[in-house]
Amino acid sequence: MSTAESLSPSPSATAKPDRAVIVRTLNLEKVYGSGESATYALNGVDSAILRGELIAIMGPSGSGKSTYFNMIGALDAPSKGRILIDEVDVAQLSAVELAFLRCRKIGYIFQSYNLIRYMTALENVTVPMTFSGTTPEEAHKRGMDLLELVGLGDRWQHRPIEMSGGQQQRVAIARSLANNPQILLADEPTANLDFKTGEEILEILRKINQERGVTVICSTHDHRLLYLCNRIMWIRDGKVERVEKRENMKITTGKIGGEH
Amino acid sequence: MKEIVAKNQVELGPARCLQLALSGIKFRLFRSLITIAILGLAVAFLSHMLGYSVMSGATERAVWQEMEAERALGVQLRRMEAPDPIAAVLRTLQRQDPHRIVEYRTWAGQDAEAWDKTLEQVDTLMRFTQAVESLSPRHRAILVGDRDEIALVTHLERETAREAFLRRLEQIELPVPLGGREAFEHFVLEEWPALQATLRGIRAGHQHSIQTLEVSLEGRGVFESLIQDPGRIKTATREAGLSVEGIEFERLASYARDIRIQRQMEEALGLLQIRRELSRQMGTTPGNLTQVAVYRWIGGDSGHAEAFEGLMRDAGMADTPSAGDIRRVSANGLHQRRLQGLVPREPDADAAENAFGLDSGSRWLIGLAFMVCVIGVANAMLMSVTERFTEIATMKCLGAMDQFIMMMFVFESAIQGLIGGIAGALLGIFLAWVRGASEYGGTLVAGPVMGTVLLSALLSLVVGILLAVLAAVGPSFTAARLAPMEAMRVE
Repeated sequence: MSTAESLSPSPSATAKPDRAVIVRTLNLEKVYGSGESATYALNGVDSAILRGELIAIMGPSGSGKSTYFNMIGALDAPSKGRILIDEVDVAQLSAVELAFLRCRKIGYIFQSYNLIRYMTALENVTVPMTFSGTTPEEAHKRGMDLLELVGLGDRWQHRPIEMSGGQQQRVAIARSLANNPQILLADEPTANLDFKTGEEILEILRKINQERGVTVICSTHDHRLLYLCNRIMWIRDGKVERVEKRENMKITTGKIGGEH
Repeated sequence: MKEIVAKNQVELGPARCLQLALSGIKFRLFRSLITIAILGLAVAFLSHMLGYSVMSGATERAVWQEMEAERALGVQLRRMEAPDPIAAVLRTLQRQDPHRIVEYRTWAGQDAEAWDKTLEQVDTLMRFTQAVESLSPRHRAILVGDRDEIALVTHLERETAREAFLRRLEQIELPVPLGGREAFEHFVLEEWPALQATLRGIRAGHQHSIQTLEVSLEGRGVFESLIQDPGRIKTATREAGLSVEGIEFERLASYARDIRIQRQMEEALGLLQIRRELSRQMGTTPGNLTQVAVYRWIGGDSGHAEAFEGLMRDAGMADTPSAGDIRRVSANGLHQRRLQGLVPREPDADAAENAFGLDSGSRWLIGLAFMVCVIGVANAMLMSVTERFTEIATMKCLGAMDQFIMMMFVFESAIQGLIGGIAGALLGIFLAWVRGASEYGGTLVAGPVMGTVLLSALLSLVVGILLAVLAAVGPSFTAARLAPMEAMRVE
């Protein structure tokens, strides 16, 4: 876990190389429409996400949270400002390089799992390995290991339709780890799951974060995540409202801090 | 800060693409089957049209040749009995038919120079005829009336008629035929009378040869002599000055023999006694005793020909044909009748232009069918793409490149085209064969052109696959350009 100082998202944040920062945004703006009808989904976001941390991103719907999330996942291009992922300016990447980035640097976990329906669990997990050019034997071996990791080693030939939501999300987590990414982007990973299953998923994410040192960025409304994460970022009205370490949160919310 | 550590993404081979496309098809089997059916039907339609066109073309050419041969025999026979009609002579002169032109020249009694002139005159006449034929119906009514071309030229020999003709031409502002008044008058007043004289000479010569032939046949007539001794009539014909080139007298003799048997049978059917007995045997009323009905009855059972022969003999007819002859002539009569019903087609220039002999109506139909098919398949592919937005976007999040996505959908469509195409092409040929068999019956020519028919099926298959790919281009382009962001969207 990084012990580096929290880089507060002040406008004065400079773009100097910092090994501790894995995702940095500089004066990020996203505008939909133009002229009078222009709507700012993001209005000057400066932020830094640290290597190896588990950060929760919170915010009401319409806050620009999803837009911010798509930006730092290299899924959408900003209208203005820069996004640096692992010190690389995303805007300067070609389509092929972007595909490379999405394939190997970032793992995506979706709210509705997004497994490919006609593939088995193992095939789903190995799709990104196919795209990265891994040999079928190697992919099979690594895919099985990953399914083992999420506790589905015996269900590798089940199709999504034969699995529960929690199991599907676990397959999706295994898939997101296929090419050993440095960043895991989880978009409301527990929103479609019941309380207990959601807890299991969060536990897996925490385990991945701690044991593998993967940076986990998790957008959520799930307050249980607050117990697990290192920091919390609030987004409101297209801006970063507040970034807090969990320790400081304890003070503000008082009652948190049971088993940890 | 600006260093780019990302290397190029691995490009995936078609094999992996194919595998993905196949599993996609399998997963959406029902939807895919509909697409395959659309493609299959379009290909079946094309292969049916092509295959049928090839078979029917071959059949009709064969029928045409057979009837042409039959007609030629009739012409050869007639030429020994009556001189050629003027129109036939002119046609022969225009075509410069090598066998007869020698005859005509002898009959016309012209030397090489005069003969060349005659051929030139024929040529001019044909040009004049063409000019008249190319007139619009209204102009034709004004200028020509209801005369045929030969009557017209003869009519124009009179000065008043010619002046009136030229005046009318001027009124409706048409050019004088044959390129000017002088050439026109020269043709009407000099060439045409000369040509007419030549034609009369040819007719007279022909008539003379026929008379010579009749004398040498000692009044037995061409028909009887042919049947009795084809060798002798050949000699006599040659000696009479008629060309024997290209005439097979043996065949002509059997043709004449068949005609005689046919006439005898017709004669027999005219006798009340035979009609009554025959209608009793056939179990029908005498009013229903048509020639065809009798032919069918004779062909229906091996004993019927003998029965018919017996009836003819009982009626005391001379030279009764044998039962075998009766059977053969009946069968041939039915065959000829069927051929006539087929509207034989002369191998025309239009059909020769494209190998499969499609007429323009069929081409339009095929084009239309294919447009419908492309739109249908494009729609199916677009649906396939639309319902897979999340899947496609997810794949792009997982590192798929645009080309890969595009290739996947094109492959999917191409595979569907291949499956539908093979089934459709085979179905099309089969239907073409069934249609040909029902329309032409025993005269269908299928075996000898099977190579071309299979080629047309193969062509249809290729067209089907291309079609499927073409239809998939638009939708797969949409899919390839889909933003990976779409994967985050929650339905």
